[in-house]
Amino acid sequence: MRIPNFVPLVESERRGRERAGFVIEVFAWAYAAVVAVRILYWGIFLPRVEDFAYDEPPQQWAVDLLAWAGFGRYAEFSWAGLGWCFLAGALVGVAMGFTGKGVGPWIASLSKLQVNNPEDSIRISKHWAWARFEGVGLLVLTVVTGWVLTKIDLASMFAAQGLQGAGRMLLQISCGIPFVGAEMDGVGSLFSGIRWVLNVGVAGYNAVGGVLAWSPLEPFAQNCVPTDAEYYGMALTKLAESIYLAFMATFFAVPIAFVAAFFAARNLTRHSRTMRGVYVLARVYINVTRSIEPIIWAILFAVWIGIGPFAGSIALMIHSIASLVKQYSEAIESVDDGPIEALQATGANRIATAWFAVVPQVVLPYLAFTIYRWDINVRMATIIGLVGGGGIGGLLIQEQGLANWSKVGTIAFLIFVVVWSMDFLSARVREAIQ
Amino acid sequence: MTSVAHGNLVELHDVEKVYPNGTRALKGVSFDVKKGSFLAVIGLSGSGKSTLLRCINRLHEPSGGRILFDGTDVTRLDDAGLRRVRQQIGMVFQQFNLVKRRSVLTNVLSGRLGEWGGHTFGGLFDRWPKEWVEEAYEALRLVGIADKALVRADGLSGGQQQRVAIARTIMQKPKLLLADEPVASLDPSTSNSVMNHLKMLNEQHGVTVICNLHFLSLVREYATDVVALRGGEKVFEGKPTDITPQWFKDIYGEQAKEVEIH
Repeated sequence: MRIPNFVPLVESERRGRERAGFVIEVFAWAYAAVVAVRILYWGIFLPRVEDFAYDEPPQQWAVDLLAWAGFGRYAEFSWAGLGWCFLAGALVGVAMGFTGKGVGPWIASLSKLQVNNPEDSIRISKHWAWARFEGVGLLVLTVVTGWVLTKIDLASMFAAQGLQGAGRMLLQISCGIPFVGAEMDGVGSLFSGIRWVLNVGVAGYNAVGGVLAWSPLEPFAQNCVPTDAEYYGMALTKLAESIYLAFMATFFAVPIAFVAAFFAARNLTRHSRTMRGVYVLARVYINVTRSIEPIIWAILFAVWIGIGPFAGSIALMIHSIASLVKQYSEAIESVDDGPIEALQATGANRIATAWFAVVPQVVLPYLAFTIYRWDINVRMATIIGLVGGGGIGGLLIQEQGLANWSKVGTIAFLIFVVVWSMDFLSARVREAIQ
Repeated sequence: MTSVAHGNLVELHDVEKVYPNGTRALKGVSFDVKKGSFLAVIGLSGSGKSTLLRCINRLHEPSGGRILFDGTDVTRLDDAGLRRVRQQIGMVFQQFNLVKRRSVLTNVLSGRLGEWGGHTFGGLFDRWPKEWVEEAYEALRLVGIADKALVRADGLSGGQQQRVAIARTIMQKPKLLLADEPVASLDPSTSNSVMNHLKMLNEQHGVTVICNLHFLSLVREYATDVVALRGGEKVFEGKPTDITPQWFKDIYGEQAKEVEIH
């Protein structure tokens, strides 16, 4: 369990780090055991054995092994089984933990401190040899598990049907972007250019496919009917709705968050038990509301006050308040304590101290956070329409449902322009006030 | 009110301070501060000087003992009473502790914030009274930087910032001034100017001063009384002239050598 003395650590933290390392080690082994049994053994090894058992004639050893493992078509891996794996792994982890050489103590001992003695760095490197081995093992195990769980299937990327469909949709969507479908003198439209490139790809695929006996692709022959100007008018109206609902959400969230942030800052709420209670409540509130996605809030408010931009804007406001309180209060926590102390020493009360010593120090960070929040809200406002929160998102989901892909392209393009320019502007403003 | 009769502005009786991490910063310190005196507190870094000063106006809560200020037991006061006492105690800090993004004038005026306690929302939406602004300019004139009144505080040099901090305490019209190493981050010539301003307050305005200092030469030049701390205990109390080389070694340890500052 001990981390040797030549590993540089702040001495007062050494005991705590050793304990943390032990716990990490135990959990690392428990995780490894669970994953190894559930994924490698149950998810990869036994299904392969099953293939042998269904051979004609069945291989007796495979049938026996499956019967012994209790594995069949409808077998479920039990929670008890997982528990036992976890426990077994944890036991190994405890044993490894006591050596103080595993990956847990290694992670726990990482610090910014410099090694003073050059010979120590060699000893440290030797000491963590096994930990590195364990670490690589865990990484490989995790990659394999991830591969299995995400059902990665490279072959499907080259299936003819999928390629054909994706190509057709790409053409339709790009047709919706302004000027892509417009004919230019002598050279045709940008759309026909894209179609030509795709058809070159089709020819290439068919050439390779002819050798490998793949089913051939048909060349793309569709034409572009550009979105008409009237539709742009409607889409832009909806887009403006999105931008303004994002602005309203930010505008009303700022004063509420401004006041609440003082109660959510640790350094201003230390002095009495009541204030510490308020601090905990504020923190619980922001953590709960922030961890619920705005899209969920939008669904809730769409049911409550009806589908439309008002619901979307309230959903965004709820989320913005929580996020802003978090960012504002962190800015308050990082202010220089000196002026606060100085004003307290003059006999000023807490409100005056906060107003004269804290607020001047946080205005600029507040401004930056607020602009960034508006930027985020505009981006989210386009999404929130998908679930009935008003704005351009509603139009987008509608056109997608009707498979009007060129209109989807138009809307996506408009959203792109707005999000990109908001991002550019807010980055510029934040840069300027730093 | 006996202490007032004795002419003591501050009396410390067995003041103790234990920090939450278990460090015993003060182990029963007792001494008296006479009205109108200039008391220097000396000792190594970590000997408890800053803690002692902050216990007097309860920026740090003392863990034991009694502190009398002008006859009132500071340690027993509630929030409102404490604010009233703090209004009479000015404080200057090693790092000046000005609000850097505000003008010098606002910083000086904030010395009066204690009197805004009764206002709605702590006076958040009120403007500074005209007389106060006049007084603030007067205070700045006293420390010689009235011309910088509208400059942002972070545009000043260290010595100027410390003078603004002194002007801020002048606004309080304090009976007592606590100075926590007021010159430790200043160069020697600026140090003397700042110390002279403290001396001026002490002699011409009758403000009692308790000042943490590092340099014995400054102690000999400015202080009327000296208290020395070592490891949270009082090891010396007397006049600056009483500090002999032997005392010096006792306070600062065998290895120490006196450094002069003029």
